[in-house]
Amino acid sequence: MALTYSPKSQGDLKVPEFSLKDVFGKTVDLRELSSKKVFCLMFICNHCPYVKAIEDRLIALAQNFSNESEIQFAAVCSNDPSDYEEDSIENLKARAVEKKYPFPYLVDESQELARMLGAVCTPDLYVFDRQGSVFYRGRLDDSWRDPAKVESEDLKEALLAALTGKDAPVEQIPSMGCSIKWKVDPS
Amino acid sequence: MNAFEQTGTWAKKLKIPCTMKDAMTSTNDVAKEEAFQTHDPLKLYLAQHQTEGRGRFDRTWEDEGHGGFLLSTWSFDVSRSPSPMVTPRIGLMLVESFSKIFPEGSWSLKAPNDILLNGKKVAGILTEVVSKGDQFRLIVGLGVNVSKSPKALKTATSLTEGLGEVSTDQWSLFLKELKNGLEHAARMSHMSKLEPSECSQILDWLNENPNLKEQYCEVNAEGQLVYDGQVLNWMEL
Repeated sequence: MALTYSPKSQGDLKVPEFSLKDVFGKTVDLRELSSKKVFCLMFICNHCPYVKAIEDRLIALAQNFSNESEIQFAAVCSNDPSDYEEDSIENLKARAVEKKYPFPYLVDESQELARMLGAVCTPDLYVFDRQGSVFYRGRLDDSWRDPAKVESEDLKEALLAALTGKDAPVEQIPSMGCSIKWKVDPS
Repeated sequence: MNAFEQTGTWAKKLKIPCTMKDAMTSTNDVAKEEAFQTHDPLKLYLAQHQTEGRGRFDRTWEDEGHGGFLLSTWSFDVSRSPSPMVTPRIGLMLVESFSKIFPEGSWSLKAPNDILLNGKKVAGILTEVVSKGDQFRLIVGLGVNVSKSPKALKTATSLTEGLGEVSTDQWSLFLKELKNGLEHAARMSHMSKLEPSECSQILDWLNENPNLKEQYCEVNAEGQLVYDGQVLNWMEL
């Protein structure tokens, strides 16, 4: 497993015009889902220990913001499940049901979304502002391994800043985790 | 706390489209009539009083008063035809929402869809589906005895009777939890089988019912309840 860090956010990155299915087979249009809202898009998967370590915190964060009408969360898995059975659609669905994900869990089977956004790892966490421009890309907090030691809730602070019209955080510390499992190019 | 007013205020804050009326025939009937006049992912219907409130099999729902009950329907736009398994799923979401926000209560699920507090009915659900072409709306009628309960029913209770006065903050937290749970159930409403994790969670909540003469052994993926060698279909209860 190669530890991978997310690169810095790019100023011109936008929520793509792109549709993909969720784990239950419903087609989700990203622009429609995020329209006029602060949008938190989380590249995650089932198998990665870095995701597993923060999964409950991501769920709690989304739940805590669910009384805000102007924010939308979504998770997406772009991994090729060929060598990672845990990331098969059936297992993603089972995970979403078991953990009662309070957000759509999307399946980027073609990996196009990950390529469009330059996602590299799981977790790779993006916040887009109401205009659909990238506002934050970085870590969830400063203690991925131990929630008791969290002192800086970076993603939460970024979401609050986006919601209240403040500037994006100047310092955006990369997220880190397993690399996205790309499909082998048949050529 | 007036559940009708507080729920309306909460919906307004979240910009959830909401029809509020002092009286409706039944919130489910109005939601069904208006099902395809809206494309909102979620629309809420609230009444202080239902003139023709119904439970399952068209049983009458007696609300006996104003503001002490939540008389509501949550109408969801779903992309595919919901399966009958949506009913136990919603029951699961509801009992988990109650237990999370009011952990001091003793909560259980009574099939097909009553929620019990300290062994007495405190909430009931009536799930229906309406379709038009390839459009579907999942209609979830939800009645909660907040500060009152039907006087004629000794087997009923209210949140206030079971737990003490419910604050507006607690109610908002409950609604948030409920909305998350119902949205989750709506997202997977077409799934025709229960996942193993759902089966075990539903089984646990059913067996919390202190009035059960015999514990259930299993809830299977088809939503069947198994006990003492017998099999009961959830939807036939």
